[in-house]
Amino acid sequence: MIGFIVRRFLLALPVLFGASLALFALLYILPGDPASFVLGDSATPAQLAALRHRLDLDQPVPVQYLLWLGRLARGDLGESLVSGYPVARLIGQRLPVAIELTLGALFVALLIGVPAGIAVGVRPRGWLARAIDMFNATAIAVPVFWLGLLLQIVVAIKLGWLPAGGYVALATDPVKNLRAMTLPCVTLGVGTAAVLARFLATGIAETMTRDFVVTARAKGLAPARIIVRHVLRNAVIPAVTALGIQIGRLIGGAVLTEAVFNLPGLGTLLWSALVQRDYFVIQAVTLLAVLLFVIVNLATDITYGVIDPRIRTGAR
Amino acid sequence: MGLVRLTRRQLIGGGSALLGASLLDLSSALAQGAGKPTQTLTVGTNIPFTTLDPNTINTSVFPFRNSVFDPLIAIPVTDIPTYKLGSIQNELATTYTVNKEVTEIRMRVRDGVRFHDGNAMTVEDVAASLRYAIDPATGGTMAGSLADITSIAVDGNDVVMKTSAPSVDALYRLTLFRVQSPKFFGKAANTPVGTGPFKFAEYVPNDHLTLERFDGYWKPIQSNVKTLTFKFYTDPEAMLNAALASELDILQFGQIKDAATLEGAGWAAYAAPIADYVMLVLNYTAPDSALANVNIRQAVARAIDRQAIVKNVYFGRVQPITIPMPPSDPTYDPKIAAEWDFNLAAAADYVKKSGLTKPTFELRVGSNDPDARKVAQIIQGDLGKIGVTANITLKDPTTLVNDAIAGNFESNVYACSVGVPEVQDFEDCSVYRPNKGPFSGAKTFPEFKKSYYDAAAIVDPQQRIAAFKQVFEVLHQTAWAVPICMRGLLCGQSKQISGVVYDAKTHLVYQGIVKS
Repeated sequence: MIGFIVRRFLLALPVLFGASLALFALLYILPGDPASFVLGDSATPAQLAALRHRLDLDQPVPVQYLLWLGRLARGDLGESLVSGYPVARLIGQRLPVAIELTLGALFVALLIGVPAGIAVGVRPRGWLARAIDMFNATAIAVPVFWLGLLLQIVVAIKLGWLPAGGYVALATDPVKNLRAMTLPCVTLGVGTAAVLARFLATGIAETMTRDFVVTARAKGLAPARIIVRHVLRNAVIPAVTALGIQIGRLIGGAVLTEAVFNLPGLGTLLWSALVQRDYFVIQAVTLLAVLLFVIVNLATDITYGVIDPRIRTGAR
Repeated sequence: MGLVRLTRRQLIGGGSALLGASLLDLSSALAQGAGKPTQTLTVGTNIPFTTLDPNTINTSVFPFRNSVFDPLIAIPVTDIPTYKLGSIQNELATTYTVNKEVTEIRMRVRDGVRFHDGNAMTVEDVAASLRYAIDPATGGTMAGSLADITSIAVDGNDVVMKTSAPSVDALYRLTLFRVQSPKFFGKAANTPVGTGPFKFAEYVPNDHLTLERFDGYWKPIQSNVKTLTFKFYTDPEAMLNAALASELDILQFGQIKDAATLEGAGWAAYAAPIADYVMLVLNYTAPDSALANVNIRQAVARAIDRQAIVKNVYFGRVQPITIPMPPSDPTYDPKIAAEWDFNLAAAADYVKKSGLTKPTFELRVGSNDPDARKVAQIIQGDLGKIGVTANITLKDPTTLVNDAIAGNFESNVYACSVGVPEVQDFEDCSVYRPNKGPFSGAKTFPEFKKSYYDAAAIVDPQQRIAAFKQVFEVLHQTAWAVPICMRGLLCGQSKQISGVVYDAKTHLVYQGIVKS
C-alpha cells in the first residue's frame, strides 16, 4: 500500500509543476496592472514605475517565474502586492474556513446523497425515486450563486432563521459557527448530493440484479442487510469516483459560495486577488487548489484500494 | 510679515461659513451618545481597503483613515446631494494662518494629544509626519497632493510650511493629510498608529478590519460605538442581503440601483458626496480620428441626453452637469453650463459644419462598470440620430486607464473620483489634471492649461471665481472632456443609526455616530 501511495504522489509532482507554469503564463496574458490598482489613477508615472521595480514586475516574465519558483522552493510564497501581507499568512487565515466549508458541503452531500441514492437504486420506479430524480435534476442545474442568494432571501431575510452571511470561528462560538455555515454548506453541497445520488442509484440498481444478491435473497437475508453488506460495497466505486471529482468542484464552487455568503475563505481571497491583479496571491491560492485536488485524487485512489483489494494488488 | 486667517470659503468667496453642521440631527445624536460605549457598528463596503498607509489616498481607504488618523484641519459637507461645504475646522491644529502672499501656512499644534501606543504627540512628531508625507519616496500619493509644500519647520508649538509659489490650494489640500506616529513609519500595513478616535485591532485583508474605541482620545467621543468593524464584500448583492438581514448598520459604496430596496426596508439611502465625475473623454490628439475635428466634439457634447442618463442609469439620484461643478458651487455659471444642454438640432449643425461624412469613433467603457455601458448606449443612440457612429467596446479597467494615460484611445466613458467637487480638485482628477493626467504635458490643451494655472494662482476670491468660470468656458470651447453627471456612490444607514457626518475629503466620520 505504501508503495502504491508513493508512486501516486510522485506522479503528482509533474502535474504541480505544469500547473504552476500554466498559471504563471495565463496570469501575464490577463490585461491589467497591479501597480495601477495599488496606487490608483492619481499616481504619477514615476510612482508607478518605482512600485513595478520594487515588485520585480519590470523584469522579463521568465525571470519573474524563476524568481517566484525559487522563493516557492524556499517555502516563501511572497507578499501580497496590494496589502503587503505575507501570502502564507493570508492563506493561513483563510484555509480553516475553506476546509470547513468543503467538509460541511461534503457532509451535506453525503447526508442527502446516500439515502437518496439508495432509495432510487432499490426502487427505481417508485414515486419516491421519481421525486428524488426531479430534485436531483434541479439541484444539478441550479447555479450555486443563484441558490445561495435564494436561500439568503428566504431563510435569512424573510424568515430570519439564519444569518445571511459572515463567519464566526468554530473555536470562538460553535453555535454561531454552525448557524453561519449552514446555508453556505447546503448551497455548495446540494449539487454534489444530487450527483452522488445518481451514481449511487445506478450502481445499486445494477448490483441488485447480480447473482450474489439473488442468492442472498434466496437465503432469506433481510433486505437492509443485503443492501448494506453486499450491494453498497459493490455499488459504491462509481460513486466514490464521482465524489472525488465533485470535491474538485466543491473547491471551485467555494469561490462563488464564499462571495455570496461573504465568508473569509480561499475563494473570496482568490476573487479579490483576481480583481486586484494580486499575482502572488493568485498563484499561491490556485496552486494550493491544484495541490488539494491532487491530494483528493490520491485519496480517491487509496479508497478504491481499500474498498476493492483487487485494484491495490492488480489481481483480477 | 502680516498674517491673515483665511477660511477656505473666504478663499474662494463662498457665502457664510457653516461650522460642523450635521446631515442627520447630529446634536441630538451627540446628546444621546455620550458615555455609552457599548455598541458594535458594522459597516459593509464593496470596496476593500487596498492599504492601511495613511499616505496612500484612494476611495477605498478613506473610511479607515478617518477613524485611526486625525487631520490637522478638516472640512465637513453640510448637505447631500448638493455638495455644500462648511468652513475649515481645526482638529489637531488649534489655529492656522496663511500669510498675505499665500506662500506660508502656520499651524499651532494641539497639546494633550496621544498616539494609540500611549506616547504624547509633539510638534516634532507632526513635522516629521508632514516631512514623511511630502517625500516622494515615502509619501505615497499624498506626496503628489502636497507637492506645493517645499519645506517644513518647527517654530515653538507651530509647524511652518512654505510653498514653492503662492498656493491657495495648499491649505485646502492639507485637509487630506493625516498625522501618524513617526515610530511606526513604514509599518502601517501591520501596525497603523495614529491619534484617531478608534485604534487598530485586527485586519484580515479583503475580509474585515476591526477597530476599537481609543479611550485616550484627545476630545470626548460623542458616540456609543465601542467596536467598529468594516466588512468587505466582493459581491454587492451579498452586501445588500446582509443589510436587509440587519447584519449591517451602514452600507458604503453599493449600487445605486439598490437604493429603493434599502429604503423599502426602512434604511436611509443616498448618494454619498464622493464625487465621481462621469464624463465622456474625447481624444483630440489622434490625427486620423473624427474626434480631432472640434465640430464633431462639440456635436457630441450637445448630443448627450443627461436627463435620460440620470433617470435610466442612476435612478434619478445623481446630479447632471455640463461643467465639472455642481450648481451649489460659486464658480457655477448657468449661462456657461447651458451651452452644452442636450440639443440634437444644434449637434446636427455642428456635424454639418465639420465637413465629415459618416463620422465614426470608438467609445470605450470599463468592463467592470455596467452603468458606464448603459451611459454609452444612450449616447450611442442619440449620436446615431445625427449621423455619428459610436462603436462601443468593453475594456479591462486598468487597460482603460493605462491606454488613457498613453493617449491610445478615441473616447472613454470614464468615472473620476475627486472627493468633493471643488475647483481645486482638478488636480485630483486624472482627466482634468493639467500636469499629469491622460492629457499631460504637450497633449494638454495649452489654452486649458493656461487658464487653469492662471485661475489657481489668484488669491482674491471674486477674481478667482471669475477666472474659474473662464476655465469652464475654455473647456467648452475645446470640448475634450464632457461632463455627464456627478455620481455619488450609494450609502445607506439603518434606522438605528444617527449622527452620520461627512468630511469633504474623507467621507464618513464615525466618531459622532450613535446606534440605538
